[in-house]
Amino acid sequence: MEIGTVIASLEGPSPSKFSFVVTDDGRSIPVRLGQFVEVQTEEGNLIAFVTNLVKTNRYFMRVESVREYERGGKSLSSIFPADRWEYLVAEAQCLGVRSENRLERTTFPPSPGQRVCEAEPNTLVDFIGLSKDGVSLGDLRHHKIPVNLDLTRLLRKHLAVLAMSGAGKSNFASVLIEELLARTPEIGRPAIVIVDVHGEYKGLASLYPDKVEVVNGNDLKIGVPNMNAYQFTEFLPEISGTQTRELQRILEELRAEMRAGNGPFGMDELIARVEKDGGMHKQLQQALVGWLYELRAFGLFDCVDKPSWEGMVRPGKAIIIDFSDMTNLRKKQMLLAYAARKLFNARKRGRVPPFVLCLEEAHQFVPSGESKTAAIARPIIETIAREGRKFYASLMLISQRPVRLSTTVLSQANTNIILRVSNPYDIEHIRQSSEAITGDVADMISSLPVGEALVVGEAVNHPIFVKIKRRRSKEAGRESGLQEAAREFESKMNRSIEDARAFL
Amino acid sequence: MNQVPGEEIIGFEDTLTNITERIRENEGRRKRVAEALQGFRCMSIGGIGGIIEQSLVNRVEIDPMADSTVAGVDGGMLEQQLHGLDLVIVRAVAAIFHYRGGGLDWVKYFPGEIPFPKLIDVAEPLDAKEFEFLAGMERQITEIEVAIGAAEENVGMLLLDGSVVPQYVDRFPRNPLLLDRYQKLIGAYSTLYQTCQENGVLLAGAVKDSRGGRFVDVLRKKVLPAFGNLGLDEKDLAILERSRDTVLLDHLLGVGERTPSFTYAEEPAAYVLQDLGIWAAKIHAFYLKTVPFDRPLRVEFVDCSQGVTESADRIASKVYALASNHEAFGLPSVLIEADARARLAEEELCIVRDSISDRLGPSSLLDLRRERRPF
Repeated sequence: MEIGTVIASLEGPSPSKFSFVVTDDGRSIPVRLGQFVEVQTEEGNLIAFVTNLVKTNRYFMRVESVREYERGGKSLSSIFPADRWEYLVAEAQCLGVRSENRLERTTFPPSPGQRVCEAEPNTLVDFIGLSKDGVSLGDLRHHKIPVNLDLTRLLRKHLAVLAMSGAGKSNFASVLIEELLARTPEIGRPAIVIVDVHGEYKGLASLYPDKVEVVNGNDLKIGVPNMNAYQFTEFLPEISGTQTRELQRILEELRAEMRAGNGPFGMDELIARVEKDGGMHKQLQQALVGWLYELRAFGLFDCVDKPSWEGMVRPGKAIIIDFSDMTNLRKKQMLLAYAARKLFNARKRGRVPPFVLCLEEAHQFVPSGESKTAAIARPIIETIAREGRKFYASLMLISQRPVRLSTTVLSQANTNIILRVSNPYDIEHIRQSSEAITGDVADMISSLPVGEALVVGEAVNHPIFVKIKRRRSKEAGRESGLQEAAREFESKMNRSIEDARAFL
Repeated sequence: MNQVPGEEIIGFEDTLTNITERIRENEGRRKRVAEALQGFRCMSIGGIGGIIEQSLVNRVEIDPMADSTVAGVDGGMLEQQLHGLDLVIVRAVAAIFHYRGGGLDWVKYFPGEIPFPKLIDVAEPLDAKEFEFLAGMERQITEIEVAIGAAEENVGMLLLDGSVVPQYVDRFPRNPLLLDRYQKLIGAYSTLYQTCQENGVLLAGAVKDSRGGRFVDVLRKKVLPAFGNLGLDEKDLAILERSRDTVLLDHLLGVGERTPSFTYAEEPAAYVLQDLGIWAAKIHAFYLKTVPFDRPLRVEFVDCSQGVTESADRIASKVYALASNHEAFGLPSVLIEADARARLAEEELCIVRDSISDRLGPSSLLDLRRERRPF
């Protein structure tokens, strides 16, 4: 549908941008910011993106005149036909030219007077790089086109979901997970591991009871025989090199005994062996025992892994690690570091299927600028970020504070899903992390409505705004609101008091 | 001897001071004359020197615009002198406003919202003044032809931007082209008057920046002597010789007041009126102050049948309603809109000139030398 005519201005038309006056076709909103348009030029079919809309009206250009005419209480429109002088001028950024089924850079401007049309759906599907078998996320904003993104392009080089609180991050993540769970073996199904900090994804288990398993974080155990001394140093960066060597020696001894039939060993056995060891320098021995006691106090260690990661991670299945009852961040980081390393190594050996590791509140696990002690999981997540694409071990990083997220990890996330972000530091950080985000696009991020996302990077040929569909699974316990939560708490408290009285 | 730079500045400053003082002094005198006249606002001056109504100052009732249609006609013109050819482009538009309940109800335009400009090329060897006359006449012909069309659109009042009488014309041109245009112009005006009369349309013209001095002239020569010069001294009276109507009347008229109507010229046979035949005697004018911080507006009108006073009252009433919305700009809104629609951009003339040049080919030398300076 024709929507306007290219006009000449001081800056254009040029190969990079042009303006057009919008034709008054009776529609109240004939064109919108962020809409795709096309112009038939000498080079081919030019695709452009509306970056700004400006309305002009000569009757309202002089402030003093507007004030004077309206001083008596009449509106200017009741004195002059002001509406007949309103013109809508759209500024558009040239994105490329489709010529002989190829997309090329624009090297020649459109001519003033050329007709501007709404971009055709077929043109846009090709231009954006949407896939028929892809993951369906929602609809392209201002166009009735379903956004189905190619699975490989979306996840292979990792995905970052960035937004302020309440902008729709977990809805998006749920939609994506639901899409992955709904895939059939014929079109490929990755496994999904969700690190659920707030218990927001438990609703998936009700929707897909046979595909989703929820594991309470407090039930997770790390099998000490599966650890080497270097993994201990990840948890306790203060352990010295000599201590690490001695610890490794003890672990190997215990493992040899285990293989000889003594059965698996836990932290108590390890500590006892270190304490008894006669070959170790006394001071070194005492320090090492101290570190191990510190670790033991976390209550994370056992003789075997619980659950068995390799056994649980299956194609088309999801594991939700529910950390909502766990308050100790260090504990969560240790568990994540161990599980992530275990999964990545298993994936490298082909013992688990390609997987997506979803990290809710990723800035807690891979913080930027924190010491090793406060960022225990960061090394392994950074390793997956750098090397995971070779083994189809993908990360989905979800964060409301991108500025606090490790830049190494964020820069490796080649597709960004950005929902509403209002913090200027975060917006600047996002802008610097992706060259596809221009100043105009960055400006739009702060004004995105809830549930709308900017998709930028590897998954699409050009940044697009997507109206994310609603997830099918229920959000766990978040619907009631503050008022309801306060009321529920009080009535529960009163019931407890009454029960106690009755008992007495 | 070379002048010292400082002396130039002092001389310039002195000149500015003199001008300012002279303006202030003249304004003071005009104010005194106006104050003297204020005491005689109701004096009976009808019949003196072509003045129609009795009172010097007449109260105007604002038209409620309950159900009125008013058309405003304006034209735009651009001209360019080229080598061996002169170009004129003109555009005229009538903005037709319909009011209901005091507010603008609907708007239409005649012949269209932004009509295509009319291109006039002049290959005749005219001198600069003759070309100016020709261009002016072409603009007026275009405007009046549009006004004739608008008068047939069921409007109550037709307002021209400017006079209701042909302006800037030479009645006795030597060039046959100019004579032809002049006759066409007179014919167009006569047709307009006739059309308005036949359709019962009030025909008026609002002169934006009138330089007219006839009303003050009548006051000075005929009215004041009849009243013993109101006790004004010679110097005060002399200032009237150097005063335009609007300058003096700005001190005399209050908002919503008008002067009595007066005939367009002292002698109907004078000047261009001669060629307008029976219409000459029907053309009158008055001044109306529509807003507090702008000069009175000269309104000319053709009394097509109702009687001068009734026509003047009805026209004044509508013009007052249309021109009283901005405290410092008292021009009818319908003419502001017509002006905006008719205005031509320089680029429009450039397009015409470039199109001709393009068709002639690269060797054409259309532009005058002054337009082709290398630096």
